[in-house]
Amino acid sequence: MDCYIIDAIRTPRGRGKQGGSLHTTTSVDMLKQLLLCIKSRQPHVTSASDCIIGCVMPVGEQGANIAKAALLAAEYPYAVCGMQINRFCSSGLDAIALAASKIASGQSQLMLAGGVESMSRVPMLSDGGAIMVDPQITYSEQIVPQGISADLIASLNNYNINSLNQIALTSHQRAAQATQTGAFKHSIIPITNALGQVLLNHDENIRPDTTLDGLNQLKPSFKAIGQMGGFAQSCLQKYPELEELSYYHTAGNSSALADGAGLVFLASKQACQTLNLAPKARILGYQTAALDPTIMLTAPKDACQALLKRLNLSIDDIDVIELNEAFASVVLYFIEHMNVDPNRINIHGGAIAMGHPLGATGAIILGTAVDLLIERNQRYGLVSLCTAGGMSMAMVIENMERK
Amino acid sequence: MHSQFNIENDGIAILTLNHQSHPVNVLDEDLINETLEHFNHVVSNPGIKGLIIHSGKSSFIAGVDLSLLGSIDLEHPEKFKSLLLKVHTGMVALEECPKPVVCIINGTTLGGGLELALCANRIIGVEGATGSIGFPEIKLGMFPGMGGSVRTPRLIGLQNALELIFKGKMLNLQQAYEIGLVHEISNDPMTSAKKWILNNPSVSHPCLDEAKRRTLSPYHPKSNMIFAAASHLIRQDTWKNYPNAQAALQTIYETTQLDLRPALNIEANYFSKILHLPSTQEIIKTLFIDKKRLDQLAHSPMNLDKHFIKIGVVGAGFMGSEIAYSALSSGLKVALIDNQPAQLERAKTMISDLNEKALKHGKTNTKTTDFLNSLTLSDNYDALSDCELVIEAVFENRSVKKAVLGQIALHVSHHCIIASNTSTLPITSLAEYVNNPQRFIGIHFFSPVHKMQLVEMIWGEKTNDHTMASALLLAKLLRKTPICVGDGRGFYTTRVVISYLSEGMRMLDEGFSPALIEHAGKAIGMPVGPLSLADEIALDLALNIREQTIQDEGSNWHDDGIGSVLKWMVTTHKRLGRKSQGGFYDYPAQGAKKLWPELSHFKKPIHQDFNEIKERLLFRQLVEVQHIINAGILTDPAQINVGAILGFGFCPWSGGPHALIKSLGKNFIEKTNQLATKHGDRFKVIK
Repeated sequence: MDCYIIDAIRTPRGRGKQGGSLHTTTSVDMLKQLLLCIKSRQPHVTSASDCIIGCVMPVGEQGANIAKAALLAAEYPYAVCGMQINRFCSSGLDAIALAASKIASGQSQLMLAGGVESMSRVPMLSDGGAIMVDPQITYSEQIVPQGISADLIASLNNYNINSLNQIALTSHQRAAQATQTGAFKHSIIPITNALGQVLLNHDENIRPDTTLDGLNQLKPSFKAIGQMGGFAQSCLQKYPELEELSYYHTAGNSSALADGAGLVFLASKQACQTLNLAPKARILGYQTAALDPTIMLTAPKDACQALLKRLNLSIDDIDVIELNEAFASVVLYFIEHMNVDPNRINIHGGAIAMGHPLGATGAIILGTAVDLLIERNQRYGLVSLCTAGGMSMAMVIENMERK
Repeated sequence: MHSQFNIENDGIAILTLNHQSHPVNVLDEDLINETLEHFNHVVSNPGIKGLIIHSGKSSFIAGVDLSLLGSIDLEHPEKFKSLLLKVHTGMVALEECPKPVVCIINGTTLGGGLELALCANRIIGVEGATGSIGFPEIKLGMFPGMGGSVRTPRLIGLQNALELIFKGKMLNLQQAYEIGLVHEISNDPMTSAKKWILNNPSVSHPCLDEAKRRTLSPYHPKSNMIFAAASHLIRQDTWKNYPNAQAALQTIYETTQLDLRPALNIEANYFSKILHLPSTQEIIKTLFIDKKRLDQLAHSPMNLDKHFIKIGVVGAGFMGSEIAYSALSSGLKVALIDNQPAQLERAKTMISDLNEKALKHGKTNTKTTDFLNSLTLSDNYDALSDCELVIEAVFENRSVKKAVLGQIALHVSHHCIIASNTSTLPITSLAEYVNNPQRFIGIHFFSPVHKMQLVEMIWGEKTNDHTMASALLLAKLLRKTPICVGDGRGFYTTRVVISYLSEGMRMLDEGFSPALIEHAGKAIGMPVGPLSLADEIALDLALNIREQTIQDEGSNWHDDGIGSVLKWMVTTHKRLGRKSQGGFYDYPAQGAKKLWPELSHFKKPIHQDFNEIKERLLFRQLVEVQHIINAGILTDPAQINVGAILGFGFCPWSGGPHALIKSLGKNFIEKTNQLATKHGDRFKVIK
C-alpha cells in the first residue's frame, strides 16, 4: 500500500474531568495547537487536500464538523477541507485509515488525519444515540455499558482480579518509565493558554506509585449499574452458561477519562519524492471486524487475525503492539487468544495509566507505535482498538527509518 | 342508553356512566360511542362551562370489554387502528378545549377506564373508595392502547409510568394520589368538582404541555439513563417472550419524542399490531375469556344453590392454616383441627399475621379479633360436627391420611363433603378410607393459598356431581379459579410440574451445566428453573413421593432417570432443598442463592446446547399434557390452559400448553418424535 506517515504528534493527555489541566482548553483549541505545530514542523501540510478527524461526542463545541472548525481557527488555507467521523473508540485510527485510502487510491497526495476528544468538556453520552436507548436495538441485542461487557469477558474467561490488576499496574509502571526517559518527548506538544503559558506537557493521569495492593482494594465500578439497570441479568440471557456476572473492573483497571488530540500527516510515495518528505513509517494495511455487541470488546483479535493473514504476516512477526487498554480484561483476552508475549504489547503503557480521550486515542497510539519502532529500530507495528457496538479496527505499519 | 348527560343550571354538564347490561361499567362500543358524543357536545356547546364524569355504579370503570378485543379480524389490524383513532379524536378534542373537565373515581378504575379518566384535567377520588386503580393489560398480552402509554408518562413522569405499565401494579386510592395520578381525595366529590370547575374556567390539559414532554424524551439528560436501563429491566423479567412488553417500551420511546396527536397515532400502530398477533389472542382467550367462564363455574356438572357457613380443616400446618385463612377471609366459619396444641397456636399466629398484613395493605376492613371469632381451634374432631365440608391437609403420606380421613368420617354429618388436599395420591384410593365415597373429592390448593388463584378439583371414581358442584361453589366463594380434573397420580398440574423437574435433574445427571439448565427454564418462560423449583418443593419430599410411586405402580413403573441425582443429594449429602439451607443451591444468610459448587460432580464433556435444553424442558411438559389429554384426565382446552398458567406459571406468553400444542400443529408430533429418538420414549406421544 502506497501511503506514508511523515509525522505524528499529539497533545499530552489531561485528566478528563473538571480540574484536569486541559479542562479549560476547548477541543477546537487543542486541535488548533496541533495543526499549528505540525505546520511549523511540516510546511507542506497546508497543501493537504483534506483533514479527517475522529470524534466520538460530536456535539456542542465538538459538533458540526470540528475538523473544519479547527482548520479555520488555525488559519489554514481555505482549500484544506475538513471532515469528522465516528466509529466510537477507534475513530482516530479510522480517520487515518480513511485518509490513507484516499492516498493509496490516488485521489489525494497529502492528507491530515487524527482525532480529538475533550471528555471533561463534552462528557460521554452527550450525543444521545439510538444504539443506547432505542428498544428495537437495546431490547433485542442487549446493548450494555462497556464496563459490563468488560466484566462479562472476565467472568466468561474466569479471570481473577489479581491478573487484571497486574495489567493495570504494568500500564502505570511502563508509562511512568516512558515519561521519565523522555520516550514521548518528540511527539507530545505542550498545550498552552492564551498567554502562551504551558498548561500541560505530559500525560497527567499516570500514577508511578500505584501498587497491586492499592488496586486490589478498589471497589467494582459497574456493580451498581449492572444490578439496578438490569444489565447484568439481560446479558446473561445471551451467555446463559454463566450463572451470574462477577464484577472485576474498577476505576484502577479501566481506562481513564481524558482530554487530548492526535494528528498525523500522510503522504503518497510520489509526494514524498517530489516534496522531499522523509517518511517515518509506511501503512501496510488496515481491517475492521465486528461481533456480538453485548460482549462488545473482544473483536480486536478478529480484526488483527484477518489483517495479518491478508498481509501474510504472523503475530510473531510483529515487534510492537499497541492495543487500546479500554479495560484490563480486553488486554488479557487479547494476550491469551492471540498468544502474544505481554512484553511486546503496550510497551510504554496504555490508556489505563494515561487515559483514553475517545476519538483521539487511535491517532495517539498509532504515533506511539511509530515512535517505538524507531526507538527500538524494529520493523512491524500493529495497532488495534475495540469499540462500542462490538466493532474493532486494526492497522499494521512498517518502520521506514530502520537501519 | 348506558349513560346520562345533564347540563345543570350553573352550566356544568354531568356525565353519569351506568352500563345497563353489566353489573360494573365496562367500555364496550356502545358506551364508548355515547361518551364520545357527549364529549363532542361539551366541546361545541358554548353554554357548557365544564364537565364532570362520574359513575352511577359502585366503582368507576373495570376496563374495556375484552370480549370485544378477542373477536377482531386478525387479517386487518388497520381496521382496528381506525377505530382507535376515532376514539382519540374525541378525547383529544376534549383535552384541547379549554373547558375544565373533572373525573370522579369511586373505586375500581382499570385499563381503558383509567385511560378515559386521564383525559380529564383533574381526577378526584372518593374518600374511602376501595378497588384497584391501574393497567392490567401487560399481563394479558397487551399494553395500554387507548392513550394510556402516551398520557401516563406525561402526567406522572417516566419512572412512575413504567412501573404502572410494565409491572401491571394495582394501586389503591391513596397510592394513586401519592404518585399524582389522582389529584384530590374528597368526601364530597361532586361539590369539590364543581368548585374546581368554577375556580378554573379556562384550563390547559397537562398532556398538551410539550415543553414538559420534551424532558421525557429518551434524549433528554433527565430521561436518557431511564431508557437505557428500561430495556434491560424489562428483558430480565421477560426473556424476550413478550412482544407486548417490547412494543409498549417502543411506544413510550417513540411517543415521548412527539406531540400528543402524532404520539397517539404511533401508540395505535403498535397496539393494533400487538393485539392482532395470534399469540396475544391466545393469552386474552385463556387469561380473560376462559378464566372468567371458569370463575363463573360454567364447567360445573350441575346447577346448585348452596351457601356454605362453616368448613373444617384438619392439619394446622402451613397449608392447613393458609386454607383456613382463605375461608375466614371469605366470611366462612372455620374449625381447624390438629392433634398438637402447639401447632394450633402457631396456626393462630400465622392466620392473625396474614390478616394484619391484609389490613395494612387496605385489602380488608375486618379486624383480626373479629376474624378470629369465626375460628375454632381444637384437637378434638367433634368440632367438625356442624361443618358442611371438611378438608384434610395433613402430611403427604398414605397411612397418615388414612387415619385422619377415618376420623373425619366418624365425626362429620353423613351429608358433609370430605376432601383431601393431596397433590399426588390418587383420590379413588383415598376414597376407600371414608364411608359414602360419593361425597369424597380432591381439592388441591396451591401454596401459598392466599396468593395462588388456582384450585384443582379431582374426581374420584365415585365422586358424584353434587359433591363436585359443591366444591366448585366453595372455590368461587374463596375467589379462586377451579378446574375439574380426573383422577390419576399427580392429577394434572403436579404431574406436569414433575415432568419439568425431572427433565431438569435428568439433564444435570447427563452432564449439562446447571446454570444452563436453570437459565433455560426461565428462557422458555417458566417462573423459575427446574432445580430452583425442586429446592422449593424439597428434595426429600420428591424422593419420598418417587418411592411411594414406585411402590404403588409396581410393574407399571417407568424409570424417570432421576433416582441417582436425588439419592446423591438427599442420602449422600443431606441436601434437602431450601428448608435445609441447601439443595441444588446454597442459601447464604446474606445475598442471593447460588448454585452449589459441588454440582460440578455431574459435569461431563458433552456438547452444551442451550436450545436443546430449552426444547427438552418445554416439550417434556407438552408431551405430559398430551398424555393427560389422551388418558382423559383433563381434556377441556380452557381448563388445561388456565390451570397450567395459574397453577404453575407455565409460559404465560403461550396462552397455555393446549394453545401451544395447537399452534405448533404437526410440528408438535415431528418435534416430539425427534426428541424421542434422541432422548427416549418419555418424549413420545402415546395415543
